[in-house]
This record gives sequence, C-alpha cells and structure tokens, in this order.
Amino acid sequence: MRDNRQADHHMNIPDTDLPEADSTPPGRGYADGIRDAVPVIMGYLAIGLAFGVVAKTAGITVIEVAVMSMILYAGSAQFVMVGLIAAGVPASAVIVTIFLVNVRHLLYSAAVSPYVRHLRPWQNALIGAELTDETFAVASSRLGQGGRAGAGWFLGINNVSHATWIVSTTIGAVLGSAITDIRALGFDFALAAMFAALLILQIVNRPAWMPAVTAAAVGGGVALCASLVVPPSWAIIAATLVAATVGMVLEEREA
Amino acid sequence: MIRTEVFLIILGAAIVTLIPRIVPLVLLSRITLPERVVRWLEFVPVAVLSALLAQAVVMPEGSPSWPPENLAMIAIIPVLLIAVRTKSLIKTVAGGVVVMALLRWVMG
Repeated sequence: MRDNRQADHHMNIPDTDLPEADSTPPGRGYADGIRDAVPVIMGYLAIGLAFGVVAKTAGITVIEVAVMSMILYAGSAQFVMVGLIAAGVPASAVIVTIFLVNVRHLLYSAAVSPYVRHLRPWQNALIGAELTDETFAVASSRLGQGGRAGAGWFLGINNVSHATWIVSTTIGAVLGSAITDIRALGFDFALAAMFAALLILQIVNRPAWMPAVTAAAVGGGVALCASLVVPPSWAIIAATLVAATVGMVLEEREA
Repeated sequence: MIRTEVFLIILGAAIVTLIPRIVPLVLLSRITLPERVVRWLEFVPVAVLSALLAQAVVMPEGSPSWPPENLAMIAIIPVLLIAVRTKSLIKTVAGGVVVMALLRWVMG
C-alpha cells in the first residue's frame, strides 16, 4: 500500500512544471482558502488587538506596529521584539533573537514542500513568506497524503490571515489602553481551540491512529518539559523532531 | 512616525524570518525526497499541533500556571470533547470561545 502511494506520487508529480489548476482538495480556490482561515481570523483579531496594545504601551508607534506586522508578520516574535526594543537591547542582538524564535518555520516549510511540487518557485516563495504556526496548521489539515496544494487556495489562507493581523495589531496600537478588557469575550482562546480541533482531525485522518496519538502525547510532553530549559519556540522544534520520529517509527512497525 | 533604528531592526528580523519560511519550501519542492523523509514530514503537523496545544493550555501567559488562574486548562476539556464528537474545526473553535467566555463570567 505504501509502495503504491509512492509510485502514485512520482507519476502524478513529475519534475516539470504543471499548470496550477490542480489543488487539494480538488477545486479549492482563493475563496475556499479564505473560508478555511476563519478560525485563524478569529484568533488573530484577539491576539492582534492585544499585541497592538502591548506594543503601544511599550513605546512603539502605530506606524512601527503596522510595518512590523506587514513585513515581519510573526506573533510571538513580535511580542519578543517589542520587549527587547523597550529594554534597549542592541539591534544585532534583537535580530539574532528573532531568528532563533522563528527558525522553527524551517519545519513547516519543509513539511509543505511535498504538496507544492507542481508549482513554480516564485509561487512557493510567496506561499512560504506568509507561513505561520496557524496558517501551517490550517493548511496541513486539508492536505492528504500524496496530495497537492493549489496556489490560489494556499494564498487565500495566507493573505486573509496576514491582512487580519495587520489590521488588528494596528487598531490595537491606535486604541492603546482604551481597550481595557479585550479578553472578556474568550476570543483569545480561539487559537488553542483551533490547535485542539486540528490535532484531533489529523489523528482521525491518519491510516492508523495509535502512532498518531502516541506521537501527540510525546509531542505535548516534550514541548512542556523542554519549555522549562529552553525558550518556547525551541521547545516546539525539539517536540516536533522527537514526536514526528516516534510517529513514523510506530507506523512502520504497524505496517 | 517610524524611527530609523526600529525600522532597521524590523527589516533585519523580517529577512532572517523569511529565510527559514521560504528556503526549504522552494528547494525541497524541486527534488524528490526519499520516501521515509516524506513519511516523517507527514507526521510534522501532528507533532507541531500537540506541542502548540500543550503550550497554549499549560502556559497561556508564557509560564506554567494552574486553575483558577489558568482557565485554558479547564476549557480544553469540553473543547476536546466537542472536537472528538463533531470532528468540525469551526464548531470546536466557536465552542471554545463560548466556553472560555462563560468560564470568565462564572469565575469573574
């Protein structure tokens, strides 16, 4: 069964460029991408407002917040950056720190690569430029094994999520402390609920669920233990390396 | 107003963030990865999601905390049940937001 899938993979996706009409799931376009991103939009509205308020309070201007959200576009890294700038940390140290916070995107980018072999390099560069924890999570929930991602669909997810982030962080910075209790409504919990739902969907959609459940338990455990000794973003890298290996090995044993 | 130094920090940070986002996607999509590597990569979403979820629930403010301060740890129980039962992303997220709002109102 595994060999078939592999053969399929090669037959469907030769190294030559194909038109981007193919997509996974079939026929999903830009508007479907926007629809798939609704949970991300809800979460980014809440976190983005909170970030804008925090940044403004730390002495970052509205325009600086907007530019940061436009060209850096990274939730946790922006919180870290604001803290470091406010603390007067030298520019070079801030940039190195942000790189270390964001280097985990290597894993997301690599994990998406098998699904975009039919796209052109510039299309893949555009898709990668707006990869975040959340857009990767939403997109990967729609990518089956050996399938393909449509460029329009992926950019729909990415663009609307990025636009939401720019708008909500800027509004947060403009309103500043005028927003006192943005958490009252519970929207800040949207992203945690989204991770929970996507994790369950990933597990039930795998051919065998035992390796996936074990990998998830290991991933959660490693992430928490590692967070005690390294920054949270590095704990995610450690958890991913260990848990993906556990899952793959267990699945091989079951086959 | 934008300060030159802040702009340069943002620009530098943006460049070092774009590299890990773009390079693997562009390069690895050009080559045929070994089958085992592909199967490893297929487990990355489960691994990443479990790590992100664990951190979001146990350390929502950045360091580990417990109820009643940490309501995410309570809210996650009904949310997981909704996810398993409905297998619907949007229902789970909507349910999670409502549960959290109710919890804050009750614990208020």
